[in-house]
Amino acid sequence: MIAFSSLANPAVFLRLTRRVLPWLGGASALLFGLGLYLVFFVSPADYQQGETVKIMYIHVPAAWLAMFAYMVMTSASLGVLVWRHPLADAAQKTAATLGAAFTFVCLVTGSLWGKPMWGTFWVWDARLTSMLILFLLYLGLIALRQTMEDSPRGARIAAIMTLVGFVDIPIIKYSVDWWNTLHQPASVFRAGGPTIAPSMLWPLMIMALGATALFLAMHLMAIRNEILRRRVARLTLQSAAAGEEGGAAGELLEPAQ
Amino acid sequence: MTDEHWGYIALAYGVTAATILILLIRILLEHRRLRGELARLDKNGAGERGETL
Repeated sequence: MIAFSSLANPAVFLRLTRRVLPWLGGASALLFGLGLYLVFFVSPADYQQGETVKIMYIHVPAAWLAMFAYMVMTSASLGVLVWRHPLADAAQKTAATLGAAFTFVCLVTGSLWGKPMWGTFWVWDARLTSMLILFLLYLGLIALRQTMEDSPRGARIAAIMTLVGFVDIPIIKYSVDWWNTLHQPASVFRAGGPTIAPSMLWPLMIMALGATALFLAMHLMAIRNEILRRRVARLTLQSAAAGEEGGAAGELLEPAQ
Repeated sequence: MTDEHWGYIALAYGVTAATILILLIRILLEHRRLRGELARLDKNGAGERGETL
């Protein structure tokens, strides 16, 4: 908690993230390089899907990160509501764009896999529909933040909306168990262990780790930008106020004509 | 590696790469713009080193 509260100082956060970012970026590039090599040159074609299974190596990490980003936003929202932590607000705000992007990738790559495998780009299946709802939630939260100023009240409203939307996350996860869906059931994180062959599981996990490192790097970069943006806004206001005061004082000093 | 669905695979990877690149470039350009604005404000004398958000 001491370490967490010390990060409330943006200067400490900026200094720390400046050191961490090159490592995260490097780890992401290395993991993606290794992952893509394994996907395209080592992992076998699926006995049913053929080479189309290669889409899974980006679709599945994108789906995980789409949900992970929302969990980050939910944790940050608790930080806003309970501790009124300004960095939590910046984290909540900036994760929405990244979450929307990964959800978009998940939906598009899923459709591109679905057409050759299911014969259609889209079905109103429980998993697909709940994922689409997540995408709309992200867009709604982004729009909500754009209509509000950077006020504590605006941050609290966005945090409450994020917490309300969290109900979609377990629905996405368990939709394949609760309803009869065309989407296949969980095959990695499930009781009883993964059902995927290790020759496919390893490239998938490496791609997922690379995507996670990339997400974390981009999120830290976006939080840094948000800190700078608020600082610019505050300094601009101060500068304008000082200018007005100077102007008013100048007018008072003007001799009456 | 002959598969009739390579078009879909290429498109999926292309869309993913494009989305990530757009995000990254947007973040980097925003950072550059904000750094420039902060430097300008510092130059104009508004630049007390604010450490709060």
